Amino acid sequence: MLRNIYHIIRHEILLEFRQKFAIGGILLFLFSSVFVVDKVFVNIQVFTWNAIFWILFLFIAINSLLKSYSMFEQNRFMYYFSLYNPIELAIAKIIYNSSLLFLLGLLLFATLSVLTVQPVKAFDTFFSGLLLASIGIGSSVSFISLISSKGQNSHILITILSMPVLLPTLLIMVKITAVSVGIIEDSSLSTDFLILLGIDMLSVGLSLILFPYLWRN
Amino acid sequence: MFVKLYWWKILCVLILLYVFIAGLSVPLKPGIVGVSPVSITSGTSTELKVEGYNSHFIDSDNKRAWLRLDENHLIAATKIKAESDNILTVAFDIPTSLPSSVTEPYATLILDNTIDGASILPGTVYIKKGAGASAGSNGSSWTGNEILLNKTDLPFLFPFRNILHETVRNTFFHIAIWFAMFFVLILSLIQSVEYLRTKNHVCDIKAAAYAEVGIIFGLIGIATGSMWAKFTWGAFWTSDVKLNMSAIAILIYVAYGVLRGSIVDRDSKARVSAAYNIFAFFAMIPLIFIIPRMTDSLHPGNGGNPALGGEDLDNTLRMIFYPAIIGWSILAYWMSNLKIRLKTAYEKFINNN
Repeated sequence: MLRNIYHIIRHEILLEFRQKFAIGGILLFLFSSVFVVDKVFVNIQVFTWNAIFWILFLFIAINSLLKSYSMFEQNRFMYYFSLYNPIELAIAKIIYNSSLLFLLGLLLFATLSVLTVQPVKAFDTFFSGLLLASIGIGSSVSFISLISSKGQNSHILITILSMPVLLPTLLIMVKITAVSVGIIEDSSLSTDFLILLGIDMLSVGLSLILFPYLWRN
Repeated sequence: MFVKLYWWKILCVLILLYVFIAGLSVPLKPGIVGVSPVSITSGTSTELKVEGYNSHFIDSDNKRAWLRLDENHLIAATKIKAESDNILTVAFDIPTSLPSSVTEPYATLILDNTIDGASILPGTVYIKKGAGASAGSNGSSWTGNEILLNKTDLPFLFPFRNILHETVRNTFFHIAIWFAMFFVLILSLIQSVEYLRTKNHVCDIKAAAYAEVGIIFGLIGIATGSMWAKFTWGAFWTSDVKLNMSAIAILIYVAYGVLRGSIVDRDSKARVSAAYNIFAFFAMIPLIFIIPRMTDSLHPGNGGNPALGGEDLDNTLRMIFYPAIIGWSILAYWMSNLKIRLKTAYEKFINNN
């Protein structure tokens, strides 16, 4: 099982680099939006930085995961179906998407910090929050994009359908970031992390349970 | 036969009639709506004009009034005159100095008479320091005697709550309707799980119908809550976290409908929407129940505010509130049943042609 998961992840990475347009498009999106932010906000405030970071992160997440299942349509689907069982595929997808999202988040943080300002003081709080948010958003959006790939207008559907998970995660992350940059002082930080962890477990668990049902066609 | 088959529908109608008639017609207990002036000066004799609600100031005897600062400091009224059943003039001789233990001198007004019993207006009358008030006094002219209240024998009445007043009746609608909404959404969840297990197409129709009725009840719940917010908070919609999260919860189920509409193939639609329904329900739980509790929210039950507990829901309210939950839930079930029959008939019609 672990071998299979490893194989799927390796396969995904290989494909990602073979089809450079997908990841290239996301990187281009990331750099250009950061550039626009830098030009528009001449003197960016910490509070705005927080909001901008998470809004950009949201769009990058949706953009990067939209393609997650678009390649699943016909032949690839049959290929995976004959080789692996759905749970393995789901775990591999979640790991791959979450780590991709985390890396993109780090890249976004780096570019935004270089071009504008770097307000984060408590790095451990910020990055552990980013990691948990990546897992939650990565798992739920990869599940949602599988759902929306079944319908028409999947680009519109994915933004609507992913709202229930994205919104609480983002709200909590904005709060955690605000604490880590030192705008607000908060004693209930551990509760926030606990809720974030709960949302992660919820979305990962539900994705794993529901994936096999969606997957068969 | 008729009664045997449709007893639950009859029950539903009876319960809802009871809820509407009793819930809207039972009067409130006597209470104090307002007092003027709200700011008085220490060391003076002041007359307060108290406006009562459902009170019997003229008919009752043994009228008494107190201004209370805390457990050990209160003064009794020197003169009480009833102008009408709802207007009472109360005169106080405020002592020159305030007790030093009281940092915020907001006094609570307590009235008592033989018919209405005690009524309280908490922390409203502000006592300014007048001329000659010495700072470090012990406020000895304030007494700390126990108040001996009149025993009254009130009929079945709803409690009078400051701020809420008559809108306390919304408990039977706003809250009970949201309970009913959760009832049908849970039914919808069960049907979705059942569909994924059995692939029985009836389950899919049922899940969709329950979710649709859930949306209707959610919208009614938001509308009634909005009216309540207008009365108590002063606005139909605030950016309160509980309100926003509830709106998103409704949107999630609207998205469920959009998703159903966007898939043409019947089996694929049933499977995908069942999976999303399960996902959405569990994702909604933190949205409505966890996040509003951890952030500041004005909504009862969140941010340290009391809700369905303590003294807010007393036994008279409970006697209507619990039947109301059952009544609205049966109504929601009934409505979904009609929808299910309509949808099944429609499917049959489509398949036959």
